[in-house]
Amino acid sequence: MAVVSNTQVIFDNLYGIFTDLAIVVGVIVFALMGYLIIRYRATRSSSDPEDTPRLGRIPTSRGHGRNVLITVTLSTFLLAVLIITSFAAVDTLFPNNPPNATWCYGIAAYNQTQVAGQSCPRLDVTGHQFYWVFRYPNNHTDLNLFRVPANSTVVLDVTSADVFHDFGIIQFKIKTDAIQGRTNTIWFIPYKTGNYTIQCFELCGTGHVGMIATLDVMPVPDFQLWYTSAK
Amino acid sequence: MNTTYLYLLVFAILVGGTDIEFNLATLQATIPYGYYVSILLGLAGVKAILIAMFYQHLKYEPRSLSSWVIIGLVIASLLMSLSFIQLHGH
Amino acid sequence: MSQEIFPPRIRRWLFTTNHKEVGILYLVTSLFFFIAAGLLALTMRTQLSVPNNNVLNEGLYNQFVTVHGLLMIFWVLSPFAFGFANYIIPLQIGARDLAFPRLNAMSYWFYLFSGVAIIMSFIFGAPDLGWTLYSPQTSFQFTPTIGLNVGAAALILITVSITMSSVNFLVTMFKMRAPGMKLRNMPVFPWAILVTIFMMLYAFPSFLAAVLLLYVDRSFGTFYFSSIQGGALLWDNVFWFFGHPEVYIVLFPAIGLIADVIPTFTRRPLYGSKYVIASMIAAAIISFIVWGHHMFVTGIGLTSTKLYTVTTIAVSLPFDVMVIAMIETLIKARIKLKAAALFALGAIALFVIGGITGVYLASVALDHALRGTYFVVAHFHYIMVGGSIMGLIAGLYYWFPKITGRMYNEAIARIHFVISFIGFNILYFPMFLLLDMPRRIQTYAPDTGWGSLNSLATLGGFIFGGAQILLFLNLFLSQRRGPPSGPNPWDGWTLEWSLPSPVPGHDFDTIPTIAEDGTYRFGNGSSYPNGSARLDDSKVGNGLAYSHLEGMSPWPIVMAFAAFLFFLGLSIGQPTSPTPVSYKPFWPLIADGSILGVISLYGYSRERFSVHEETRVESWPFREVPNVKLGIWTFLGAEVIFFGVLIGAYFFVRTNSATWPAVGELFSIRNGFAMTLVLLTSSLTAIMALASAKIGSRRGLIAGLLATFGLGASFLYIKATEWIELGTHGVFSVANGLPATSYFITTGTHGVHVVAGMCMTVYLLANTLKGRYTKGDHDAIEHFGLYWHFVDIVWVFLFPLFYLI
Repeated sequence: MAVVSNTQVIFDNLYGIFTDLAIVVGVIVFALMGYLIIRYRATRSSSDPEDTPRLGRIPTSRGHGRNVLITVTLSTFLLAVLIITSFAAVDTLFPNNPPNATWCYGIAAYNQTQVAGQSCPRLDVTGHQFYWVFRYPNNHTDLNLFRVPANSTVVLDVTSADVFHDFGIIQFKIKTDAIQGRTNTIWFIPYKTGNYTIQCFELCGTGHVGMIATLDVMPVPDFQLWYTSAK
Repeated sequence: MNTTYLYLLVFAILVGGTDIEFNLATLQATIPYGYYVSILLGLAGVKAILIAMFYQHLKYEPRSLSSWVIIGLVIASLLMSLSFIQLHGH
Repeated sequence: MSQEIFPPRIRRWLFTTNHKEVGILYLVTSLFFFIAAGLLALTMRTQLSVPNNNVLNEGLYNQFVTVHGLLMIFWVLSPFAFGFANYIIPLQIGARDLAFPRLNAMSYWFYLFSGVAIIMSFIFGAPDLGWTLYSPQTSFQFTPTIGLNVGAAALILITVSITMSSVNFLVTMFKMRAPGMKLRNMPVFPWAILVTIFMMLYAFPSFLAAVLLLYVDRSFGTFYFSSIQGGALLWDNVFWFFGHPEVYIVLFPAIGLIADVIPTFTRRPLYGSKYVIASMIAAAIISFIVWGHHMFVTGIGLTSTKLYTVTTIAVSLPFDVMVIAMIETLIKARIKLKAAALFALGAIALFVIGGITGVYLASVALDHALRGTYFVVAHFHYIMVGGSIMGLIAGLYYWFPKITGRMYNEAIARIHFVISFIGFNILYFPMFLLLDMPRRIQTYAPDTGWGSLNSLATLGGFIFGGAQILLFLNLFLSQRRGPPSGPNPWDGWTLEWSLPSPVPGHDFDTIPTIAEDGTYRFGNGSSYPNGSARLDDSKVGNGLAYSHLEGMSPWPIVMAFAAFLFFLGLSIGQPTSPTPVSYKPFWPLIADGSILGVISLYGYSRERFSVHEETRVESWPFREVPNVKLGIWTFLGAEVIFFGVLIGAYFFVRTNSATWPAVGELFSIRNGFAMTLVLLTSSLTAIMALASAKIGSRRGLIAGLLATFGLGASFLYIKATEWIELGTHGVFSVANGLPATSYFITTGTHGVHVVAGMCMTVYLLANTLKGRYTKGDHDAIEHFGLYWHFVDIVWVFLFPLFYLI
């Protein structure tokens, strides 16, 4: 798979860990089940075990607490790994304070910001029935087309003008809900220039299926040129 | 007529508690808001417990009978506190 | 009401209160809805089979997607399981019937009519925004079609049905077990149902409150979900607070059923059954604190999301224990791979995949990519179809001989399993790989590359759907001409197998007893198989003297129909203006429903319908508590959640609003004070009425009831004046929208409770005048009091909450 953004890399790594463990666990469980079913299949010559439950009395209870304890301990260990790796990923992806945005560096209007090492303004995304509006700090707005420069940090404030939408950049494996009256912040670093798909991931009415926008990751000089001329 | 006396006594306390609540409202400005709300809800809680214990005579019932309501209260307060953390916990 | 207008065969099904017949009604009806919802799904799969398809337009697709989800979750999975529960549980625990047979029939009829309503909603434009009904799209502004009102009414009706069932089953299972059938002696299926109704009892009131708020918003223009301070997050919280336990509600009966099927066909007792039961209880408790994982990307903050990640991942531990226990049962077993066993084992395998992928979605980090995609769809279908439906089909094969007395064709059943299992995986596994594709979209572009996996899934859908034809044909033909099965074809150990198949109307001739050593004993004192559940075969069908076993009642169906008409009338009105919402309900139907409702209430309460309460029962921990009283307290437990959610919603919008009117500004403290005193006094008069009844004073009882009624009326009078005053002063301004909304809805709901209580006093007064209640038969007065004081307690909290802070 091509590497397209930092968020996609984080997702792929974490997804890989989950899937590796899932396959191990799944294979063990299914192999065990399959083996036991074949090994202990009833045949004509076999007879019922001694403790077969029979009509007329409550079956004797069996089972060791020890085995349950072992199962739970082993699982807890596995799950702890998943929790720890998940927390590490989410601390990067969705910290309470997102990192400094750098998309504006190199544009004349923001020279001061860059010199001081401050964060660029966040970009605004607003979901409408059934389109996306992208607003830049110079008040330029675009419909269903979102231009950002490659290899810089982009921080987005996502909200909705009407119903519940969900802003997702498919190839970047990142999304957040767009809710009226609330602002949800996400950030990412695009690694590769090109077009990516932004789509609404929450059924928002008849028209939802077409609520698709394009993310255009541009080479930095092209973006700077475009931004300076965009009004 | 012990029980009648008891019911009247409970009623007197309930009315007294309500009267305190009513009068507290006029003093609202002089009490910190957090205390004010806590005192009011505390009073309401005491009144509710009195009604449940004596009028619904839970005091004289097997303790297990109140378990459904108590579990309900615990679950309802979980809902409220966890959604409160979502709204204001960050 | 004359019951003779129907021929006996039809009358039996319309008016029955027998748990077995009600169980069969549940099973047949839920299978009907299963076919309906399945056909919706196949239509959607056809639409999705290739890119840019348009055999089903988007508007209709959205309606299908929504109604498919609602039908499967509310009208198929739970009722399917409760069909078995109705039929089997009283037999397995050795009860004569459910505690409240007429209430049980009523639950069924509410269920049926609610299902009719949800299907009828297609006439008016069915709900089209996903079964989760996310706000604010549900508000009138964005969805002006009244189909959503009809859908919401259907949801209210089925919630009423489920709450009645919960109370009924809880009382039955705690109070009516055969002597010696201690809780720990119960098979796993009754345990699973017990844990399920525990969750139902506490989860559904939250849903009822949520849908009620939505309904009022849409009908009367209140602002809970159309405002920004309430809106999306308020709905998410109250909906998913119900929604996650609901997942386990539809799953647990199947798990319990599998845990009973497996020992029968592996010939070994379930490994660690007490740990399986403990795990169920643990999962049920944790299920109430994991709902936030459905809200990971709503922006609820890192603290909350991490908390929910931990609780959600932790809830997989109990399921681990359950699965491992079932697998360990196979060791040194003698496994007979009959169809029921195949479906049970297959369900476990599919559930394992569903469970493992559930852990992915529990991780907040992965959820940021997977939320709203086909990965989620695949995951929950592996749980709900793979675990629940496959498990329930195992139950269908397992208990079919018991219910019909005939055997099905085993070979066809096994083929049915093989095709279903393969079809299932072709249908749902590709969806895991479609983890980029948004769910609930009507179509997609060719360049997405999603086409081939979708075609594959559609193919699987038709294989899986087609396989079910084998099931229905097999069962339909077999119940007519299958060979007789005999009482115990599988050599099972649970009590239902000690009875003839099909089970005779009155179940056991004599209630069995479980001796200390675990053996069953029957009436003649001998143990099975020398003794038998039947005393004398010649008595079959000639109606022993158990009054209600022959008992039929016309009122459950009439009452359910009345409620159906009432809500339909309320729902199919004319929207006259979108902002502010103005809406004119269809009064004729409301009037019909109300009149019919009053008639049926009258008939219901006047009908002679005695329920025989066994005296020798296992009833820990509710010894000494009569059934009705336990039922009322159980119901009050559900009411606590209902009002808790209403008050919680008020807290939510209040702490989320920047400003709120000062104390005394909007609502007069003096009014609130007066109402509190009136209601407290009514509690005193109610308890004095009971005290009078106890000492046999009819005059005191009449005075007490009259005073209670009068005080209730005064309370409502003050309330009505306040409402009118607030209404005429235009409180629904933008500034006061939410204070007014929360006030009107919360006090209005409380007011309805007061009215209901006053109706009870009228009924009690009428009976008192006929000379009842003063001869030691004062239970009804006491039960009324328990309810009335509860309503009083609610007001004790509403007074400070709305008037003083």
